[in-house]
Amino acid sequence: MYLSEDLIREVLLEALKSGGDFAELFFERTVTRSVSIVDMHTDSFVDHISEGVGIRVFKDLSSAFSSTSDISPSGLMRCASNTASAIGSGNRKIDDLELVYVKHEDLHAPEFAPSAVSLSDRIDIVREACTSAKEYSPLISQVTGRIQDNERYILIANSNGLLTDDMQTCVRLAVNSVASEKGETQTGFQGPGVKRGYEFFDMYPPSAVGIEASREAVTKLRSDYIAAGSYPVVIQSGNGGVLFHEATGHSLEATSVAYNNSEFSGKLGEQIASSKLTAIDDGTIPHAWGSVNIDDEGNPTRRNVLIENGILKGYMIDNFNSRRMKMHVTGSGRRQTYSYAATSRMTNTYIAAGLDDEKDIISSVEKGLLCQKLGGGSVNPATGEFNFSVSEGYLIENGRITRPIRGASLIGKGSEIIRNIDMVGMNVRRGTGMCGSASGSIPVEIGQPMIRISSMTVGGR
Amino acid sequence: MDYELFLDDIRDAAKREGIYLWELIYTATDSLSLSAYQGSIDTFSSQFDSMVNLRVVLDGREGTASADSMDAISPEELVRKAHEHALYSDSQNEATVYKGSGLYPEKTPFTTVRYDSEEARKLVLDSLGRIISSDSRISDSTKVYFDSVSHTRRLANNKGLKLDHQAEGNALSFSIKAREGDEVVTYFKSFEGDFDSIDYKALSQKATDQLGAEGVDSGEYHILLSPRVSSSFLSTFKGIFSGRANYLGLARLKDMEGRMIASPLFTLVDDPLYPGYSFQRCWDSDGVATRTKRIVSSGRLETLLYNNEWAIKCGKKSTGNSKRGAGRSQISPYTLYIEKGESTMEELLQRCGDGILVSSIKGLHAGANSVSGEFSLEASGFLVRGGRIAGPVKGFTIAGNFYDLIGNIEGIGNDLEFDVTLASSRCGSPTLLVKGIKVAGK
Repeated sequence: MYLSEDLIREVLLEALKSGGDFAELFFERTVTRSVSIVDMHTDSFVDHISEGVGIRVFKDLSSAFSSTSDISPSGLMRCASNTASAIGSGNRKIDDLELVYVKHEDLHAPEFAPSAVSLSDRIDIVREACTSAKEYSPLISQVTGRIQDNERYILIANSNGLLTDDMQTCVRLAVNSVASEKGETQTGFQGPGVKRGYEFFDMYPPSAVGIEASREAVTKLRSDYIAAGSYPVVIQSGNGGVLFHEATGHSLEATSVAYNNSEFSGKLGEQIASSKLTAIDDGTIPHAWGSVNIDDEGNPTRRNVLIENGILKGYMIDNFNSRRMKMHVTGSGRRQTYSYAATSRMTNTYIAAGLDDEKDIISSVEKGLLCQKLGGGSVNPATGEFNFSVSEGYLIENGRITRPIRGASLIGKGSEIIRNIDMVGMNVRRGTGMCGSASGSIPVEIGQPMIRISSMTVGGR
Repeated sequence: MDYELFLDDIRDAAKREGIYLWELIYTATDSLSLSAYQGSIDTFSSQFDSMVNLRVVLDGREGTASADSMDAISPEELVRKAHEHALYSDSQNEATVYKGSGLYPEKTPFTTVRYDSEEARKLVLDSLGRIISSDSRISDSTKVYFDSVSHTRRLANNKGLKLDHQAEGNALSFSIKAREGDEVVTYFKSFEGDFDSIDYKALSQKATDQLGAEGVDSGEYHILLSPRVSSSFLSTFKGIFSGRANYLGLARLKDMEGRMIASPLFTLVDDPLYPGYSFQRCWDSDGVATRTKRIVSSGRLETLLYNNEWAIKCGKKSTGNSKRGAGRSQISPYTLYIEKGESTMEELLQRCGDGILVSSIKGLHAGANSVSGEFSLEASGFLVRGGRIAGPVKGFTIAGNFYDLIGNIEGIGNDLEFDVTLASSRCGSPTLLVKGIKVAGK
C-alpha cells in the first residue's frame, strides 16, 4: 500500500471533524503508456504517472470534494481539512475508526501485463496495424494509429470502515484511416479495447484492426447521400448499442434520476419500452472494456437489469445519489481519475438477445436504413432528445441491402425509440467506447443484437 | 518537492545519461467549483492538479515522459523514460530545444475579481434565487455553478531559458430548466468576469422562448447561426488551420496561403493577447513568443498555425502556437475568433427573410468530421418569417461541410461573443448569415 492505514484513518477523521456524516478517501496511481504512429513513423510517446487523492464528505444531501496530487501527509491533511470546512464548521472529536480490509477476486487479471511489454513490441503492434490499413487500398492516403495501456491501482477507504483496493489493467489499439479520391476525403475508425493485458493481440491481430478502419473509410468514399425523412431503421449488432447507451442509458443514471432530470424518474415498474426490450448494465463481464472488480466507491460491480420485457426495473445508483433517492447503490460509482468525484455511470450496457433472425429483420424492410456503425451522439437526459451520426450506413430496398449511404443522422426521443423497437435479433455483440460525463471520460462497452426500429427521423441531405 | 531542486536534479540526471538537450514544463492548477440546487449548496469541490513534463532531444529525435507531480516520479526515472523514447523514435521531423525569443509581449490590461469560498457560496445561492424568481415557468430543477481556476506554468531548458506564467479567472453558469405543462426545455449559459451586470429576466426569457417549439419542413434554408453556435463550429473545426494537419493530409488547406478559402466577409484572428481577457499567453510551450495574427483576412488564407517542430518541417516560422500536455507538442490557437461585422440583428433578420435562426446545436463530438469537414447535427432555434422571428423550432438536423459554410457567409453581425473556457484557448464569433444549409425535419 502506498498510504499507511494509520494515515488513512487520520485523514478520514480530519475530514469528518466539521460534522460530516460520511467521509471517503480515494487514492490512485495509474501508469499510462502510449505510442502513436502517423505517416508510418513514430509520432508521440506517452509515459505518464498519475498519482493523487480525492476526499469526499457528505452531510445529509450536501457533498464536498477535494483532490490533490500532493500525497505527502501534510498535503493529505490539508486536502481533508479543505473538504471538511466546505461542509460545515466546528471541530468535533471522533472516537477511533476501525477499518476492515476487503479483498475482491480479480476477474480481469492480465496474463501479459503492460509493464512487462517492451517499447519496441508496442511500436511493432501499432506498425502492424498501420501497415495493413495503408496496404488495404491505394485510396488510403493517411493512417494514424495508437496503442495505449493503463495500469490503474486504486485504494478506497471510508468512514463506514471499508478499506479495499484493486488493480485495473486495460489495453486499447485504435486506427484512423483516411481515404481520398478526387479531392474528397472520408475517414474510418476501429478501436477495440479490453480489461486485460497484451495477450489480447493473440485473439485480435493488430492487422485486423487496421483493415477494418480502412474498409470503412473506402466504403464511405463510394457512398451517396440519403434523402431526409422517416424510415424504418435497422441497427447492426455491437457498436449500434451506443444508441441505447445515449438515448436511454444516461437517463437511467442517478445523476439525472435523483434530480428529477430524467424522463424515467419515478417510473419504476412501469412499461416504458416495447415488450421485446430487455437491457442490462453488467460491470462483471470478464475482461470486458467497461468491467471493474469494484467501482470507484469500493462497491463490487454487479449485473443490473435496467429494463425487463419493457418494464423499468432499476437505475444505476452511486453512493451520494442513493441518499437523495433513498435506494441502494448498484456498484455504479465511477470517475476518470482522483480529481473527479465519483458519480453514477454505466459499465457494459447492452440489449439482451431476442428471438428474431437477422435475415428476417433485413428482409422485413421495404425501404429503410441499415446502420452498420454509429458514430456516437448526445442526449439531453431531461427531455430524452438525442442526435446520432451514422458513420457507416446502407440503404435497404425491398428487403435487400443495396448501396452505402453517407451523411445520415438519427434524431429522436429516447422514450419513443424504445417503444418502437419491434424486432430484436439473437446474437449480442459488444463494442468499445469512451463515455464522457460529469465524472470525466471512462471506458464503457455498448452492445446489442441487431434490432429494428419501426420508424425514425433520419437527417440527410 | 521544490521546483528549483527538481530542476537541478533533472540537469544532473540528464548529464549522467549523456543528454545535453532537455526542457521541463511544470503546470499547476488550483480550482474551486460549487453548485446550488433547490436553495442550498449541493456540491463543492476544490482541486489541486499539477504535471511535470520532460522532453529530451538526442540527435534531433525527441522523447518525452511525465507525471502528475514532482513526488510521483524521481528525476532519474523521468530522464531514463524520456531517453528511451528518444532512442526508439523514427520520426522524420527534427526536434530542437529553443534558446528563447529574447523579447516577449506584455499582457494587455485585464481585471480579475477574486472570490473566496464563502463569497462564492453567497454568489451561487443568490443567483439561483434570482433566476428561479424571474419567471414562474423556471423549474426548481435549475442549477447554478461557480468555477474559479488559477493556473501556473513554468518552462526551463538547458539553454538557460526560464519562463513563468500565471492566470486566474471565474465563471458563473446557469443550467436553466423551464416547464410549461408536460414540456421541459433546458438552456445553458456561462458568464465570465463581471457577474453584476447579468440580466436575469433576459436570461430566463432565453429559456422560456424555447417553449412550444414545433418541427420544421425539410429543405434548403437561409440560416442565421447564433454566436454560440458558430463558436462551437469554430471550436470543432479549428484543427483545419494546423500546419501539421495540412502537411499530413488531415485537412484541405495545404499550399493555399494567399488564396481565397472563404467569403470576403470572413476574417479569422488568433489572439493570445485579446484585450481584457484573463487567460492571455505571452509564450507558447516551445518557449516561443506569442503574437496576434490574422489566419484568414477577408476570405484569403494568410497563414496556417505552427509550433517549432512543424515550422521546421514545412519551412515556415513558428506562429507561437505550441501546446503541450503529456507527449509531443501539439498546435493550438488561443482566442480564435471571427471578426465582427457591421450588421445589427434586425438587419440580418431582414436579409435572411424566410429562414431559420439556429441557436443551439448538439452532438458536435460525433456528428462532425474534422477531416472531411462534414457535419450533420441536431439543431433547435427559431423560424424567421418575413424578416422577423416567428416561433421556436426544434428536432431538425442541419447538414453541410465546414469548408463550404465559410465560403457561403453572406452577412456578419456586430454581436461578437466568446465561449467560456477558463483557459487560454477559446473561440468567439458574431451571428453569421449563411446560405445553402440543408435542413432535415418533418
